[in-house]
Amino acid sequence: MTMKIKRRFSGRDTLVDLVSIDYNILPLLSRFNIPLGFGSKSIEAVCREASIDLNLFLLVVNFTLTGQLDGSAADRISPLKIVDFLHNSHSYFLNYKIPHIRDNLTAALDAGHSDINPMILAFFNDFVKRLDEHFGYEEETVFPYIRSLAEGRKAADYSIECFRRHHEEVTESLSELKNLILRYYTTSIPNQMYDVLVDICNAEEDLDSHSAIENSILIPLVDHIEKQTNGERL
Amino acid sequence: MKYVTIAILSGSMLVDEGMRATLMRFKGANVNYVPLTVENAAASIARLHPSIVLFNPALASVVPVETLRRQASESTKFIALAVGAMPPGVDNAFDATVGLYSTVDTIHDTIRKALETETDDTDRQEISPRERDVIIGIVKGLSNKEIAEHINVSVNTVMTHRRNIARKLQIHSPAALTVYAIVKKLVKLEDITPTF
Repeated sequence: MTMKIKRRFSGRDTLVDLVSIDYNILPLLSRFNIPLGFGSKSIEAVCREASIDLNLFLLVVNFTLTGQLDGSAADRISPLKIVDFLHNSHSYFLNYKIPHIRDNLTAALDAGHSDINPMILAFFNDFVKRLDEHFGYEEETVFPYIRSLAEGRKAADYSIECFRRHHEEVTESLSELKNLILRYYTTSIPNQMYDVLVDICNAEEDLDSHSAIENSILIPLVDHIEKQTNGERL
Repeated sequence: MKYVTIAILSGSMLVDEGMRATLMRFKGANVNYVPLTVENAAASIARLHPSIVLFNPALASVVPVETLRRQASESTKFIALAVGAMPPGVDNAFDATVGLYSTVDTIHDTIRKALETETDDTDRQEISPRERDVIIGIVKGLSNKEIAEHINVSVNTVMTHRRNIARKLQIHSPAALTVYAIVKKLVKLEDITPTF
C-alpha cells in the first residue's frame, strides 16, 4: 500500500480513528481477523479482546501507513507472532479473497466472448496456482524453520538468506490480467467488470503489503535471531 | 524520406498557392499537397487520411472542425491557418496555429513538430505488420528461430519485435498475448497451441 501519512498510531488511539485516516487499512484489519462492531474502543482494548498482539498490530499498521519501520519496536516482537499473522493472511487470500474475485470475474464475463472467456479464467487460475505454490513454500519450509529457530533449534541446512534470495513477486501476472481486461476486453455491460478491476487492484496492493511485511519485518528479525544464535554457539 | 499528405482548406486560391510554394521548400518529408474545397473537404479527408490539415477557422461556421475530425485518423493534426482574427472559441479545437504573416521558418517548424508527434504516437501504440506476424507466430507456439525463418529475418530481429510488442501492448506473457490476438482477430481459436 502506498500511504504517505506521517502520523503514527498508539494503543490509546481508537480503531475508528485509524480507519477514518485511511480506509485502505480495512483489508489489513480483515487479515488480522479483527471482529467488527468495535464501537469507539481503543486499539489496545480491541487487540486484547481479540487476542491479537498489540505490538505486532501497531508495528504493521504504522509501517503500512507511513512506509517507515520502527526498528526498536520490531526487535521486541516474537517471530512466532509474525509467522502466525502471515499464516492467517495466506488463508485469508487463498480461502476468501481470491475465490471471491474469481466468482465476480466469472459473473462479469460477457457471454459474447465465448472464445476468450475460458482463457481469461485460465489466466486467473494460473495466477492462483503460482500464489498457492508461493505461499506453500513459506508454509512448508520457511515458517517451520522460523518456529524451530524460535525454540532455539537452528536448522543447519537452511537460513533466512535462502528465503530472501528466492522471495519473488507474486502480483506480476495479476497486473497483467488487469491490464489485459482494461485495454482489450470489450463489454457492453461493464459495471461488474469495473468492480472486478477494483477488486484486482486492491488485491494487488494487499499482496504487495503482505510481501513488504515479510521483506521488511520478518526477514530482518529472523536474520537478527540467527546471528544471536550463531554468536551463542561460537 | 517519408511521404506525408498535407491538406489545406483556406477558401482562398492565393493562400492555397502561397502555402504550396512554402511547403515545396519544406525539408524532412516529401509533401503530397492537397488543396480542398468546402464541398469536398470531409470526403477527401476520409479518403486521404492526411497527416496534417491546415484549416481556415473563418470557415468553421460552414464546415465545423469536429465534422472534419470525425473523418480524419486519430493521429491527424489540425493546424489553424488564421487568415483574419480567430473567431472566438475555436482556437482550442486546433493542435497548432499559423497565420498569414507567419515566416516560412515558423510554418516549417510548426509542420515539423506536428509530424514528429504523429510518429511518436504510432511508435507507442500501433502494431506494425511485421510485429503482427511475430505475434501470430508466438501465439501459434513457434520458437523465435521458427518465427525468424518464417518471416525471413534474424532471430535478433524477432527478439527486438517481441520487446516492442511488449512495450506497445503492455503484454508480457504468451498467454495474455493469445487473448489479445483472438480479440483482434489475428488468429482463430483453433489455430493456437494451448499456453497453459
